[in-house]
Amino acid sequence: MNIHPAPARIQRIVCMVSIALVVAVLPVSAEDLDTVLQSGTLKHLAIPYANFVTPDKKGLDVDLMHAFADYLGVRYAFVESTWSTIISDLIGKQIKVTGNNVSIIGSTKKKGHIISTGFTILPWRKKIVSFSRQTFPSGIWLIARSDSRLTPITPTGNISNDIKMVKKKLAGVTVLGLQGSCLAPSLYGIDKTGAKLRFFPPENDLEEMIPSIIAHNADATLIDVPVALVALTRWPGKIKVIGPVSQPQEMACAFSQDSPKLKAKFDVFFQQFKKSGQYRKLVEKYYPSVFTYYPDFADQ
Amino acid sequence: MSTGKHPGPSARYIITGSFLLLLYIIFLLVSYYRNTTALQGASLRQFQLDVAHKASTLEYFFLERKYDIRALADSLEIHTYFINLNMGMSRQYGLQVSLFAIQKRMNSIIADKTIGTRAIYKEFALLDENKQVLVSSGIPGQQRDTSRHSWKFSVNDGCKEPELVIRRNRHGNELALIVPCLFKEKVVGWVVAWLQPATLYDHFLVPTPSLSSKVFYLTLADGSRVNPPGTDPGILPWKKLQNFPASSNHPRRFSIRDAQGQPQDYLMTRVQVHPFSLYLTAIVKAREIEGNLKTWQFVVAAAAMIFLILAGLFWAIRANIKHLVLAVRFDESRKQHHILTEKNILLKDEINRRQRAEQYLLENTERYRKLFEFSSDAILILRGSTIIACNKKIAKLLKLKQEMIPGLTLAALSPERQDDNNNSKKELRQKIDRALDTPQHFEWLLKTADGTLLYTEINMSAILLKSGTIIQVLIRDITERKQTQELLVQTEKMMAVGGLAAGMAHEINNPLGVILQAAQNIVRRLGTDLQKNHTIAESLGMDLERMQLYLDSRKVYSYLNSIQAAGERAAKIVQTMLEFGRSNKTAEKESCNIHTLLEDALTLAASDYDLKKTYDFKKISISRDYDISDEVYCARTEIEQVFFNIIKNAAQAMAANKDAGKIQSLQVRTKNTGDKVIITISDNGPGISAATQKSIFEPFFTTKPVGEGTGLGLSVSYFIITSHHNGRITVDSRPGVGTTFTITLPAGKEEKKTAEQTSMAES
Repeated sequence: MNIHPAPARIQRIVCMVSIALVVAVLPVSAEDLDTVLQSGTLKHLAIPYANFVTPDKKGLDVDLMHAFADYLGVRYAFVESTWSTIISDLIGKQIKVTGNNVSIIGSTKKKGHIISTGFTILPWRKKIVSFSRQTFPSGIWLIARSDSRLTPITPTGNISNDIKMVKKKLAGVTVLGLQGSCLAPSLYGIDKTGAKLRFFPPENDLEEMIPSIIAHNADATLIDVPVALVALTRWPGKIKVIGPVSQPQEMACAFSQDSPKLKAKFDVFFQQFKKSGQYRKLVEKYYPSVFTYYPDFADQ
Repeated sequence: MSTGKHPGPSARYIITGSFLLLLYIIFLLVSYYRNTTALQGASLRQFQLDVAHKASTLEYFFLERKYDIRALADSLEIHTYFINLNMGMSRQYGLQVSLFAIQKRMNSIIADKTIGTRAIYKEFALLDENKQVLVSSGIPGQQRDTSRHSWKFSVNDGCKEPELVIRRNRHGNELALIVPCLFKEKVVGWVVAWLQPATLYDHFLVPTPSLSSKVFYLTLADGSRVNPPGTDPGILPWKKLQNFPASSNHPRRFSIRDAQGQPQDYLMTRVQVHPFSLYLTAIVKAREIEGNLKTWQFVVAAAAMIFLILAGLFWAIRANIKHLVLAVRFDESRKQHHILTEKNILLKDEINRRQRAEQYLLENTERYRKLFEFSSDAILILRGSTIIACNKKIAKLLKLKQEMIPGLTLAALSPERQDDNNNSKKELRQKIDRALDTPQHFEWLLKTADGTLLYTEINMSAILLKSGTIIQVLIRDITERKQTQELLVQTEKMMAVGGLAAGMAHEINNPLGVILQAAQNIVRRLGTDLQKNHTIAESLGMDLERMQLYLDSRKVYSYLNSIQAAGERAAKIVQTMLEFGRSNKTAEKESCNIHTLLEDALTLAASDYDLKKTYDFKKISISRDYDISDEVYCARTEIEQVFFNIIKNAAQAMAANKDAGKIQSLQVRTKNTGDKVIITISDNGPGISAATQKSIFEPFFTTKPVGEGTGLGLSVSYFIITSHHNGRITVDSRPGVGTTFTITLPAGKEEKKTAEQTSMAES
C-alpha cells in the first residue's frame, strides 16, 4: 500500500506506525469464496449508473452478477452504495484519497463481496482492491452543451495530442467533475488548466451530470465513454463531444485483496461467459452503440 | 345459261328459297361481323383498362416509397447527425454514434416495409454532400462494396424531392430512390434507397391469370427495359420496339415470326407511372383480343356461303360455334373487367379514406399543439421523472430555450432544497409517485437559468395513454403573490411591534425621569459648590471636604456618572421608540426636490464625526445616476433621516470589507416613472443573509455588537416611508456581492390622498 508521503522523516515513520496499528486492531474477516459459498449469498455492491446499473436495479452489471451467482450456485443480493463509500463497503476500511495516493484512516463494516458497477481501473484503486480482467472499455471525454462556446477538436490520430488540444481550451471554463471517482478532474490534470472546477454531489445519480450542464449549471462535464455514447442518443443535438481528456481506460469488477479465490473464480467464469457469446448479447442489449468504437471487445 | 324457259314453280321456290336463304345467310354473316367487331373493341378497351389500373397501383406503390424515403431523410437520427457535424464533432469523438443510430433506423425500415413476407427495400445508404457513403444499412461495422455507391453521375444536384434512378450494373438493373437531406435549407447529403426488383415484379408485373399471353415491362422514357434478371419474358426483338412513342395510350400492332417461322401479330400499349419517367408497357398476342378469325378469312367464308349455299349453312354453323367461343371469352373478359373496376373503386375509396384520416389527424394535432403551446399556464409533460414536452410559457418562465427543456427532470429545474429544507429531488419523486394515483396540488420553488428562485403552484395529474402513463404538470408563477403576502405580514408585524414599543416607551419614560433627576440631585447635594451643603455638614459635625475625598477614593462619583450615562442612553432609545406612536402630522410636509434631499444626506454623512473617523467615509467612491428631477411632497427631515440611516449602514457594512482590499463603492440612483420616484442606494459590502433580510426592519433587530446599535434606525425608516409617506422600502442583497435598498415615494408637489381619504372628504 502506498502511503501519502509526508515532508518530514519522523512524520512519515509516525504515520506508518499509526496505520500499522490501525490495521492491526481492525477486525479483519476475509470474505473469500468459502464465505460466499457458506453463506449462500453473493452480495453485489453497486451504484445506479447509466445502463450498468439502472435506478430500478437492472442493467449490464446486474445481469452479469446474476449469472455469476448462478454459476456459484448461490443467491444474488443487491447492495446499493455511493461513490464515496463503495470501496469502504467492500474492504471494511475507511480510506482517504489524495491524487493517486490512498491511505487507511479507520475501520467500517463490510457490506458486499464484489463491486460491479461500471467501475474504472484507476492507479489509486489498484493499490487498495484487486481487479478482475477487463469487462468494459472506457475513457473520459469532455462534453459541453450544444450552444457552448467550446468547439470540438479535430482528431490528430494521436490521442495524447488530442488530450493536449482539449486541455488548452479549458481556461476559464466551468467544468463539472466528481471527487473520488473516475471523473475526478485532478486525475487528468484538469485542475492545472485554469478551468473553474465544480463538483457534483456524490449522492446524486451521475447520469444527471449531462442534464446539469444542459440546465446551465456548468459549461462542460467530464463523462466516461460508455455513458457519453448513451447520452448522445438520449439528448440528440443538445450536447457535443469536445474531445478526450484521458488515455483509453478499462472497467472491471473489484474484489477485496483478501478475496483471491473469489476473484480467480470470477475470472474463470467470465472467460467462459464471453466464449459462450452470452456476454456479447448482454452488451448488445444495454450498450449497442459501443461496438461502433470497440467492435471486438466482448469476444476477446 | 338461259333455256328460254322460266323456271318452274318448284325451281322458283327453290331459287326464292335459296335467295331468301342467301339473304338470311348474309344477314347472319353481317350480324356475326358486327358482333365480332364489338367483341374485339370491348376486349381491346379491357386490355387498356387493365394496363391503366396496373399503372395506378404502381403509382400508389411509388408514392408510398417516396414518403418512406422523405421520412428517413427528415428523421431525427439524420438531422442529429448533421447538427453534430455542424457543431464540429468528429467521427472519432461522437459522430460514429449518430451514424450507428441512422443505420439502426435504416435496418428497421427494411424489416418493417414488406409485401407479404418479402422485403420492399434491399438497402439504404446515406451519402455526404460529395456523394461519398457515410453509412449504409446492414450489420454494424460491415461496409458494402463501395464501388456500387458512386452516385455522382446519377444525382441531380438541383432536385429537392425524391427521384427515381435506374441504372444497370453487373447484376442487372437497379431501382433506387434518391432524396436530398436539407439542413438549414442547404443540401448537405443524400439518402439512397434500393428497391427489391424481384418483389416489385412478382407483385405488380406477373400477369394473372397465368394462362394469358400478356407480358408487362417497366421501361424508361428511352424505351429501355428495367425488368429484373430472370423475369424478362424475352419473346420480342426489343430493339424494334424502342421507337414506340413513350406517351401513347393507343395500342400499336406489330408482327414478328415465331420459332416455327409463322407470323404472329401482337398489340402493345404504354402508360406512364407518375410522377417518375417510368412507363408500364404491356404486350399481348393480337388473337387473344381479336379472336382467331381474320377479316380476309371472313370474306372468303362469306363468298363461299354465297356460292355454296348449302355448304354455307355448314360454314355458318361452324362460324356460329366460333361465335359462341368468342362470346364465352367476352363474358369472361367482362367479368374480369367488373372485378377490376370494383377493386379500383375500393382502392380509390381506401386512398380517399386515408387522405381524410391524415387531414383530420393533421388538423387535430395542430389544434392540440396550439392549445398546448399558447396556454397561459406553463405546462410540462413528464414520462417517469423526465420531461418529454413543454410549452413556450414554461420556457419564458425559466428563461431557457424551449428546446433545451425536454430530457431534463423537474428536479434539475429546482434548487437543491426547498423553502422547508426538504431535498427537492426526493420530494418530487414522492409527488410524482402519488400523482399516478391522485392529482397533486402543491407549492414549489423553481430556479431560472439566471439562478432566480420562483414560487410556483403546481397541479400534477396522470394521463393514461396507449403508449403508457404520462404526467401533466400545470405550473403557475405565484412569486408576486408570495411577496405581497410577505410584505403584508411584515407590515402587520411592524405595526404591532411599533405600537408595543411606543406603549412601553411611554410607561418607561416617567420612572426614567425620576432616576435621572435623582442621580443629578445626589451629585448636586454631595458637591462643595452649594453653601447649603456646607451648612448642613457642619451642623452634623462632618467635614464635607473629607467626605469628598472618601467619595473619590471609593469611586462613588464614577458609579453616579454611569447611572446618568445609562439613563441618558435609555432616554434616547425611549425617545426613538416614541417616534412609532407619532401621527403623520408630527412633521411638516412640503414639496422637496428628491436630489437635493439625497445630496443633503450625503453631505451630512460626510460631515458626521463617527462616519468620518471610524469608517473613513471620504474614501468611499460615490457614484450618482439621477433621472430627470421631480418633486416629492414629504417631511424633509424625516426623508433625510431615512437616507442618512441607509448611507450610514452601508458605510459601516463596507468597512468590514476594507481589509479585503476591495474599493468601497456606493451607488445612488433615481428613476422617475411619472407617478412614482424610485430611489436605490447600493453598496458593495459583504451583503446580508436571507434570514437577516426577513427581520431587518423589525424594531431592536441589529447585527451590531451590544451597545453599538439600537436596532431602531431601519425600523424608524420603515415607518417614515410606509406609514408617513404612503411609500415602500425594500432590501435586496446577495452575500459577497452587496446590498441595495429601494425606496418608492409618490411623486408630486402636493400630497396625494388615498382612496379612503378621498371618500371621507367627499362625504
